[in-house]
Amino acid sequence: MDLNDKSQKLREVKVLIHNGCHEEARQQLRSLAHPGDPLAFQMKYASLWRQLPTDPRARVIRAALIATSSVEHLAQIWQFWLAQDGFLCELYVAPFGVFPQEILDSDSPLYHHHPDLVWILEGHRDFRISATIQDSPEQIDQQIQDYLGVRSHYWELLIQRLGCEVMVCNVDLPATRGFGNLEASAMWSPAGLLRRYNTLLAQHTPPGVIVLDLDHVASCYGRRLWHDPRFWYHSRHAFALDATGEVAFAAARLAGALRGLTRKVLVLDLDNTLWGGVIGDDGLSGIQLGDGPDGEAFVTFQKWIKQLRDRGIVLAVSSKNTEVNAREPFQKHPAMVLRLSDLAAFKADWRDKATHLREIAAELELGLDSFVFVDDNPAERALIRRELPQVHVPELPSDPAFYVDALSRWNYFEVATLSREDRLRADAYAANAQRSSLQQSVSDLPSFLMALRMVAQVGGLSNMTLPRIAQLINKSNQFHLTTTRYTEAKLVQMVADGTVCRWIQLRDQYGDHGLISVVLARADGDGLTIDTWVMSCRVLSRGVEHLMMRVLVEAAKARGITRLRGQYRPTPRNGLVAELYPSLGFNQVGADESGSWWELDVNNWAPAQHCYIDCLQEQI
Amino acid sequence: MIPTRDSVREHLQGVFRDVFEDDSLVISDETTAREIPDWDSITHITLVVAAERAFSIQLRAAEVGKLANVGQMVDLLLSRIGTSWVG
Repeated sequence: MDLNDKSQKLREVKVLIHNGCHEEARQQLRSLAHPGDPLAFQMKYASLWRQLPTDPRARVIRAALIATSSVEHLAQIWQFWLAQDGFLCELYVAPFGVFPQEILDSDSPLYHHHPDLVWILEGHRDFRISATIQDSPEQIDQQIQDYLGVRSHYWELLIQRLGCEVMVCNVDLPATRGFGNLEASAMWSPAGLLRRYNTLLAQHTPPGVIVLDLDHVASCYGRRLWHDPRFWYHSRHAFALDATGEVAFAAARLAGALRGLTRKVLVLDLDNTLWGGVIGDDGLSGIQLGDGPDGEAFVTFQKWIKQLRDRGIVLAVSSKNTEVNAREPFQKHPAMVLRLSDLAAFKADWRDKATHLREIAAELELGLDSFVFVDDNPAERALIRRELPQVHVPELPSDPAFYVDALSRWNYFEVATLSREDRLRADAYAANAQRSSLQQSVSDLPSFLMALRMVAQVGGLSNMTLPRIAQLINKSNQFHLTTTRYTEAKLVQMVADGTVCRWIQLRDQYGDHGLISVVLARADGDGLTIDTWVMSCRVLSRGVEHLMMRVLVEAAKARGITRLRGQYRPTPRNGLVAELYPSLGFNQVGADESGSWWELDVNNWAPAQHCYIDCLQEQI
Repeated sequence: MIPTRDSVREHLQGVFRDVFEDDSLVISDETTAREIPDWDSITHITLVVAAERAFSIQLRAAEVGKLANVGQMVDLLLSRIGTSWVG
């Protein structure tokens, strides 16, 4: 959209806000805002957003931003982009020039704010290392390691004192070079040093610290445009002010990923989205795929999607077609990259696409807010935006050569870490289809569960399992009794302070589910109180909760504790577990506005009559 | 059409209205930050960056902070934009 049109539309948003149409204003603003828009637009998005009442569904992030440059604009725009991902960011911005004193001084305003996320923004100007042609690579590495060591000390202080997560930036390489092309190969050159720093930073990032790839943002923006020294000299702005939206957006996505926010499902249209032309009209030999400029572009787009699938993004199809026609290219076209076996759901008929998406969500048991919908047809996009505002619907350009770019630039599938479970996920959904056919072939549930040949492993918190445990706690919504959210650092702290942590991994004859359930519980008096109990919905109705009960009872008995206590805190999404405690034999002992309390005498606990899971216990 | 102080000021007024989110805002040569409550050091930067874009020019670093009133801005813009500028 042209910026003049956008200006006009923003005036309409202002009127909507003025007239109290808040939900519509929110949606309009969401569809208008783009990270690449210039500074004045970003500031206006932020300002209009602040005029809207706080979204009651928003999750709070307490954050601090410490920068070696002026960040007043950036701070506001970052908050705006975080809000687009459903976060309310309570932000403390350290004044200019207090880095690193604010971090060192445990009594500084930074610590009084108690942030759970600290963003440290430095740039190439802060980098103090120089070298000459005489310096050996080992000497240079030593210098950089020492420099990194000082940084690591700051990060560790923050993590120790706050139990927070720390977001740091790699350095944005300058556009200017004194040594020309030599700077690409000579490690002692200015660019060589910065590049080496970025590499060593990536290799030595401690737990609890995550790197924002600022150099990538700079290079995508265009290095020459990114570096605008005028505003550094005038007011200590470290990069071109019109790039602020891009930086804020990148930082918001990464912060969201740290909180477990990512999209899991990519729903694809077929005609003119995965191939050129209309299969029903043009036939197998008439669609553009493989040969010609458009045909090549569609193949590239499919390869990119295949990459997402291979890292665990679940793929589905929603097409207005007859099913036979829609399946034909997958089965017969030699240039197709995606296969039917890559897809977890396939909807091809003449019903509306909102119905398709609702059905896919129900079948996969995944929330629509984890869906991205890609369709070349603006009318279909508009329909989904209106009917299912929680679904992410990127604009698609008319030229398929830019499809990858259009989808990639929103970075929908950002993750803080890629766990083993992530990579297994797409396989798991494919294996689910096989399990369903087993379920149909055996007549009753016990036979089905027995035929699955499930094996579980139980363990406690370790460095290996920490990222996945944090991810599961932070991403689960449905089977989550209390909807607690904890950072990795916080979990380590809790366990060090005596909290019991137990996880279950599960595999069956069709595949490995990975680590799918976690409990956190702490002893107080004669009771063991269950603070957190989460389970992946992929393994519902398998008896995993009964196994976890056994684990909890054993943990209680080992401590000489007789009572298990648990709370159910209802949310719009965890109705699934409303009856969990009574179904396991707990008695209700209280209720307040936050939820209901339940208790069980472990001596009265009877294990489930049948357990179909073989359990291996780790040393805990 | 050769750009004039009036045509430049009118175009600049559009930028002001956009940045300060006020479609009834009228600026004159004498307008300073005092008359516009939201005109602080942060919006000043936003304003300058938006004006640079609107007029397709780049100010010098030293000029950014010296723009005390609208008249000075208009003079500076007029001296920078080419005669082919059509607003």
